[in-house]
Amino acid sequence: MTDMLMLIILFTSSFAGFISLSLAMNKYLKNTKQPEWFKKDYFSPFYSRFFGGVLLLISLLASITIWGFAIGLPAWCGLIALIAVLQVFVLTYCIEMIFNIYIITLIFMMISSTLYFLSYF
Amino acid sequence: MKQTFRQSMAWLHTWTGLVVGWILFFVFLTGTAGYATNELNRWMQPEKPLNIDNLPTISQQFNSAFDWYTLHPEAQAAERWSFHFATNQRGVDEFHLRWQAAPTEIGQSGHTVNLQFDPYTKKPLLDQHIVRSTGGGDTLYRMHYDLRYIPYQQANLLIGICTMFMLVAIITGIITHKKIFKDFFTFRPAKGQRSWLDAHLLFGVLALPFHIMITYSGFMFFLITFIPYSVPLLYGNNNVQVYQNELFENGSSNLNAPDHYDTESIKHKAEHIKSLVAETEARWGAYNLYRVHINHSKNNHPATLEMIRVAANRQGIMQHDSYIKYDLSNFQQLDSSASNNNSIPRNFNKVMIDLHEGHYANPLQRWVYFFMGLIGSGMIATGLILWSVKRRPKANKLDMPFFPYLLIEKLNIGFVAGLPFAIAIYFWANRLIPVEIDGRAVWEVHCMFIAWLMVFIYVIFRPIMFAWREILALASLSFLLIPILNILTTEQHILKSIAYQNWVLVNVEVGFIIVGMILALATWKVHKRIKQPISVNTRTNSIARLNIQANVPKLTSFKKLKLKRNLNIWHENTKYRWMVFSRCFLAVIVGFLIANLSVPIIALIFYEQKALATYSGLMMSFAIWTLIILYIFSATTAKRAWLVVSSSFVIMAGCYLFLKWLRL
Repeated sequence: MTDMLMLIILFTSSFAGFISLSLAMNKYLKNTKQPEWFKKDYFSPFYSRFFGGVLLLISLLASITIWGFAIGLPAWCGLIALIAVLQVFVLTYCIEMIFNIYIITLIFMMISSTLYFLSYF
Repeated sequence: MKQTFRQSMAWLHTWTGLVVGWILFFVFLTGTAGYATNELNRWMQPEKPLNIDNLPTISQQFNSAFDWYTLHPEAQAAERWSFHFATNQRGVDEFHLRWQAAPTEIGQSGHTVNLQFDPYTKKPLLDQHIVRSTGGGDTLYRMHYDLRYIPYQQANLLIGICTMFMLVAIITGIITHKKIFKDFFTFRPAKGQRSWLDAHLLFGVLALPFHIMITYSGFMFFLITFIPYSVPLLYGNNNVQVYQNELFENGSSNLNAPDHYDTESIKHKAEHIKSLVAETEARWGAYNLYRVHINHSKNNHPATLEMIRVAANRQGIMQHDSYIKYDLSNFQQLDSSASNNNSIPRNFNKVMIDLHEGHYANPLQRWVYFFMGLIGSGMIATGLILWSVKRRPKANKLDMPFFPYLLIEKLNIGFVAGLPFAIAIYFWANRLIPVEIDGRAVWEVHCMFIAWLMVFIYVIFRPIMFAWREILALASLSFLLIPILNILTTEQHILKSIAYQNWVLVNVEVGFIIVGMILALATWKVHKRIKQPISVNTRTNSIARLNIQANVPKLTSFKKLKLKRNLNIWHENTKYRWMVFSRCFLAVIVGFLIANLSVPIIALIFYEQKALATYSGLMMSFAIWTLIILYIFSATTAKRAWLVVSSSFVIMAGCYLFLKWLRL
């Protein structure tokens, strides 16, 4: 069960991380639809890159937690490449929805992380 | 070569990719299938039971096979025995004992006998036709390094050359691509050449670590085959065995051990051997002991017992506790830490090989490997198509000879769309060739290649875009219909596999459906392109009109009209072609010689650990060769390239002779 939760964290954090990195680029950001209450400044390139990097780091830690360092590292390299391909298809064919996908992915990640930590008690 | 370094590298990337692209596509696609070797083996023998419950423990399986061995003198006379157990990991449900008879002549290997046991009754299966004979996934896997219908040595050499080109193409691709981070995630569909370039970059950049790993580790399997003169230069002709003995010596030499086979002693140690196997099984967990080898004492080396753990359940890529070896003269565990086997170069090599083959991978990681393999194949395919798409305007304006261009277009279709179709036919043949036919395993492969040949013949007579659409559709249908064919011809289908929770078979059939859907998507894209309305004004569309509506005779008439002009261009380019040829010669022949020379030089410098230094040198020689190739094609003039590389060769030869004299 904990491994499954970790896998969900791994997938969601790397996917959200790539979305964040893509939103750091103006060519993608200008095509997204954002809710009115959301300030565009939140997606300044610096914060987006930083947050994307942090999320990718979380996914790396999740991978190492599941499979250990020796297997976790190459497995992470492979998984994020596949997730990046998925991300490209999202950016190409449904870029308007990317903000919603981003929020949903982050919510899933938060729920999985909470459940994972709760499983220790 | 060109105005700037980057332009030279772009030229090299284009042409190295094109020259070996088709073979590399074959290697990548069949290698990708190799990640599911065991699973495909199981799927291709549908007579086996779907549900394997209550398998006897590994100790029970070992004991029964060992008891059988003690009663049969013909097996006892063997030099080495291998016990392979039914573990049901990745669908491996066969339990067999394999032994290699003692050689009858010095320098020869004895013949191998394979005896399959029923894991439940623990008795030998004498009727080998209980399940159908098939090449299985093993045949596809082997094709990716020994090709097919080509002698093994030549095929290995060809694969080695192609791998070197692949490494050069990857490095030059990185150098050429200026905006790796800026273009990250960029894919612009329906924009012709731009889209193909985006797709090529996408597949290349996103999976770059995988591409580098898979290419470089490809060399690790055939070090001496690819750099054949290095070891003889150091150890003398026909002394490769001396080098291997020195490298692989495991510190187990025991002068008290007999120098002849001692069959009786192993028989009398049966109880002790059985207890060691049971002990190891208890330590590693149920069904985690995969294989046991027993070796006779030989050449003052004691008899040994080796036990190997199931790779997929390891905690690391190269786990130290995945292999145990005992000296059977005193039942002490042999410590390999003092020998070369545990040195950094050997460990590096083992890690690279394990990463390449992915033995450690669990089902999820295996899927990742599979998709990475598909991405690699996609990168090569998009690169090949990009070459053609980029040159279509020129070709259609008759600025270049038509035949080579058409040939490349048609070869692209034959390989990129035709090979998946041929592989699908291989699986169809497995289900349709009658079970009782002798040599059906060979005929499965023949069917695959006959289907592939038919594709090439078909492509010759069809306009390019139509051929793309039709072959892709055929390949897609062939894969999508496999699960239905399975229902019609066997009693094992995907729903039944799900009911019996046989996830190995479910994974295989899901894989067929995924591949079929990818091919269907490609077919739909080509179909859309053909149906796209054509406006005559734009250059791009005029090209499209030629390719879509015109047929081969129309192109031929253009060819006749402009043949004279093309011939003139050909003559003007003769000087350029000679320059390219001379650089290619330098890169292949002199580069090869320098790579071969670099190994003994490294070994002679670190002479105290000659074998290990040779081994390290062999692994480094590919990097040295790659650097030489990059220099040769980036030098401003061919003369300079010749001067620098030839003088480097002479200096290295001098160094080698001097060091050799010093060490004598």
